[in-house]
Amino acid sequence: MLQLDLKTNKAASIDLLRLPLLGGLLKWRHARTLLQIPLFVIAVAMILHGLFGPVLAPRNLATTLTWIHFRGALVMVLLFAGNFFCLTCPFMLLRNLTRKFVHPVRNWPRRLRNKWFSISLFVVVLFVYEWFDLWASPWWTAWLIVMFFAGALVIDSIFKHATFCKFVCPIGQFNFVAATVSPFEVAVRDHDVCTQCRTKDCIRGARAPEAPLVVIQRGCELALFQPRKVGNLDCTFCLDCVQACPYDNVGIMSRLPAEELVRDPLRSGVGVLSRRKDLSALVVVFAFGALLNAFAMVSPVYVLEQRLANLFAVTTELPVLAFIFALFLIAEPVLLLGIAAWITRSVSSKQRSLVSTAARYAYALVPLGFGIWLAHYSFHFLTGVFTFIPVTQAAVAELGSAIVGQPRWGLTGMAPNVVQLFEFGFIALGLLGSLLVSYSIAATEELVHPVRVFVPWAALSLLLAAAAFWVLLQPMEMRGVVLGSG
Amino acid sequence: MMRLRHASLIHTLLVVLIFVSTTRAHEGPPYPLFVDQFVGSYSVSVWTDPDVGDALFYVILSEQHQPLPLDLRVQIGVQPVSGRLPEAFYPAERENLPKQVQYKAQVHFDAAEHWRVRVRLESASGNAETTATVAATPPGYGRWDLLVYLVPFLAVGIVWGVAMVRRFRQRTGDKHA
Ligand code: SF4
Ligand code: SF4
Repeated sequence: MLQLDLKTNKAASIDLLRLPLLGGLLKWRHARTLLQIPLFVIAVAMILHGLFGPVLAPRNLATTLTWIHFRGALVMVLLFAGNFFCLTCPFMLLRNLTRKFVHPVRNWPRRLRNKWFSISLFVVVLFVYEWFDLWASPWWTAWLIVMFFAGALVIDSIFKHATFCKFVCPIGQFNFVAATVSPFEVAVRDHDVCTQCRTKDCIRGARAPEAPLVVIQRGCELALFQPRKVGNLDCTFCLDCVQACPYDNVGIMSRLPAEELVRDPLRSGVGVLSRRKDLSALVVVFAFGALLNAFAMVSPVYVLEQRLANLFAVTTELPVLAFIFALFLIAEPVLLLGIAAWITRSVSSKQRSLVSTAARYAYALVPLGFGIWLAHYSFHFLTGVFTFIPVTQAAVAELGSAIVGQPRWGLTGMAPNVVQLFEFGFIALGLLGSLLVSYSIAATEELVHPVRVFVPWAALSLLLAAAAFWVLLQPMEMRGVVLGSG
Repeated sequence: MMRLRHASLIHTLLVVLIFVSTTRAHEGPPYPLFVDQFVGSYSVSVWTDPDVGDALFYVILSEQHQPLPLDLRVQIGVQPVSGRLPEAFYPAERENLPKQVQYKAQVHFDAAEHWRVRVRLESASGNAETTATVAATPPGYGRWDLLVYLVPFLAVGIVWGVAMVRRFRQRTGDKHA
């Protein structure tokens, strides 16, 4: 059972940076680079294999590692730890190297300092994934990886700070939202130490005593000031703040998953959640996108596409897909959140606009959305976890070396029927989380009738969970397994 | 049929959670029997969902090296490895999916045991075949299997729920104090 530390108002925490070995490694100045290098090498191998290797997706490193292993490992790490992908992100290795020679002076345009642009890119990636059948195309998958590298490099060579991570990268936005449900966060160990602190190096950067204008260790590039940072939103786990703090006062602390979604204080670098319509929209796309992405891998989607094509009398996929996306990511959320917000307003003692009400309660959808992503990606990951072995063996054999032996194509992963149980478990846990968060928000905001306010949001979560269970129970097409991914 | 089995999985899940002993069959996605094996002049992958009762086989043919003959017919033959039944053949239907040519066959396994599977490709330009062995999946989960796999989720759910409620009470307590 979790013990509450009443003085700090926090659960007694485990600090990963204080663990033997792991803590030492993560606190090492070059830990990030060390962790990025292997992922960079793998990314380069994926690009080369995607562009020049076999065209069949299950035989190619680009498709196999991207759509089975990377996505699955990503959500697993988010579930069990936190946003460690951003820590080890290979795109940032190249960018950090370039920053040694290129020193951008421009600021990202004020009008774009929000999540709208990255939401659009997130939707574009989901759309392109379906339109170009990325799971089946090593070539396009390789180009997608190249585009991420190029995007990070170009944007962060022109603009200061971590512009790409904070305002552009769709993977980053996914990680930021999902990490709100993670059990660890980068946080201050003792707030009293921060109160006494004069230098605030965690945000300003550590400077050489003999040359106070020279930053020898950068502070948080994402504008998260540790003492006022709340939760994982916008945090890339880069650990710059850990390196910069002169009092060794920043750790990677355990915390109660999803609790940050309930509270609505002013957050450093983020603002007040209920006033951030762009963040609410990101969360909505995250949750409904999870359902759409999972739905697109089961066979009824073909029936729907065919019917829509007949209805619109078109023979190309583009308008049909665009319609499905508009339906799932715009019409459905607007309608469902609109109804829930309207009911909330009519029973609430607070006078809030419909949009503000929906924006506040939308955050309750994160645990369920994450549960659906987890169910989907963990399915591919766990049923195909060993497939990287034969694909790598085949790739090495293509180079004319027999050093790793003949491809063992029989190596796959866990039995699908067992993994299916995990999928149910993840969605059920996500639903529980969403119910807990929506009730907590309702009870925090409504002192008189919290249950009345809770009911429409609980109904919305139940509806989405039912849809997710339905999707899971549909027969999957072959794209749902190693021969492609959903 | 499929919907019924799907419904029964949810049913099973709920029922087992309240410790009643009924269990039913599962519906799981397929896994590879073999991948990219050369059979005659074809590159063939076979995926299966080998449930006892109705089992599914997917035969994926690669068009990489030569176009597939238009008159190509695919059949799946199954026979218990023990030889207790004669070999039975089932035709596979062609399915057009994006970027792959796939044939799907539904076969019948009457018992959870090892079966020999023969994939037969026939066309005017020549025939080819290959065999593999598959273990038919037992019909559904055992009660204890389900418990073993689902208990961690239940435990996490309970701990999480209790912790959230406690934290919430503590926060609202602080607020009202
Ligand atoms: S985290 Fe470290 S540098 Fe930042 S305010 Fe606290 S003590 Fe100062
Ligand atoms: S420097 Fe900022 S982004 Fe990096 S770990 Fe610290 S708070 Fe997170």
